[in-house]
Amino acid sequence: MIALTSLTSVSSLMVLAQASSVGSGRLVGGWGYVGACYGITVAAFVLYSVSLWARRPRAASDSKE
Amino acid sequence: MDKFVKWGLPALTLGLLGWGWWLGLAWAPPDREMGDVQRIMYVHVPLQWMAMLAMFINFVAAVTYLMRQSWKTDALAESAAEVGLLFGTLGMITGAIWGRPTWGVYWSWDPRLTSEAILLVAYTGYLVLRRFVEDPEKRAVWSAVVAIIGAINLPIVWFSVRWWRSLHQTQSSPKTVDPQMVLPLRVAAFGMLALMVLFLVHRYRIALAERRAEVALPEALPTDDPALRAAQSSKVA
Repeated sequence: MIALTSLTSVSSLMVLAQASSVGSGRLVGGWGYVGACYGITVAAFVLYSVSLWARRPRAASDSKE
Repeated sequence: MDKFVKWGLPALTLGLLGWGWWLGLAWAPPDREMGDVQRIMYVHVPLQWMAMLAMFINFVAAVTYLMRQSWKTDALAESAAEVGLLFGTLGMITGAIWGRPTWGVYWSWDPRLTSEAILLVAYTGYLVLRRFVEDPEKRAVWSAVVAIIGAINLPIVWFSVRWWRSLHQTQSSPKTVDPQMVLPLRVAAFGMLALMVLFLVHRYRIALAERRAEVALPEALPTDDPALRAAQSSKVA
């Protein structure tokens, strides 16, 4: 009986230990993913702006020549 | 108007996007379950909204072109497709990055993701078609038809999360979201709208200049016929 009680206590402690490692059920960290999303988006916008600038119509400058 | 496009719109874009993203990254609270990872919403959701809007503009311009042919509507359709593809691709990439910590995978053949992938492939095909057809009139008509067919997928993408059991969450509303999350999302969305309009205006000007050059000087265009090409080069020489 004592052995059974001890076993139950140990298993309860193990469950509690797992719960403490899981935390409050919220994802922790992840700023790397956030930074990657914003970084990729800004980089793509900058590259696309450069491509628009490179392809801009140059009729006005040509007509001056 | 030109001054506004040159200075006002870029300033408005930078101001709104900067403010919206600052609010989203530093001011808004972390999500109850997703924590700080949820801050990806302030870039992913506006990107997807603007992609859908640009593709809808492409659809309207294509229908308008078929009803009343004009190089302006053809140029608008082309620009909207390119800008929509840019925003949609970025929306998909940021969504995949968000999926990794929350779903455990970057990609899943879920109805929303699959329909979005088909949408991006359709608009890539639209732009490829425009590259392959040299005759401006044929190109405009054929691509308008493809744009209309491609747009059938727009409501499918939007409603996929409601029609089928999807891993992707359904659309939220301001009633179900913390006001401190609604404000950054709205500001970032208006910033993204300003950027989309800015890109659209510049891309439209490029497309219209190309159309006018093609129509004005058809003999100056490169041709696949070697005999004609030789004749053209001798003319230049």
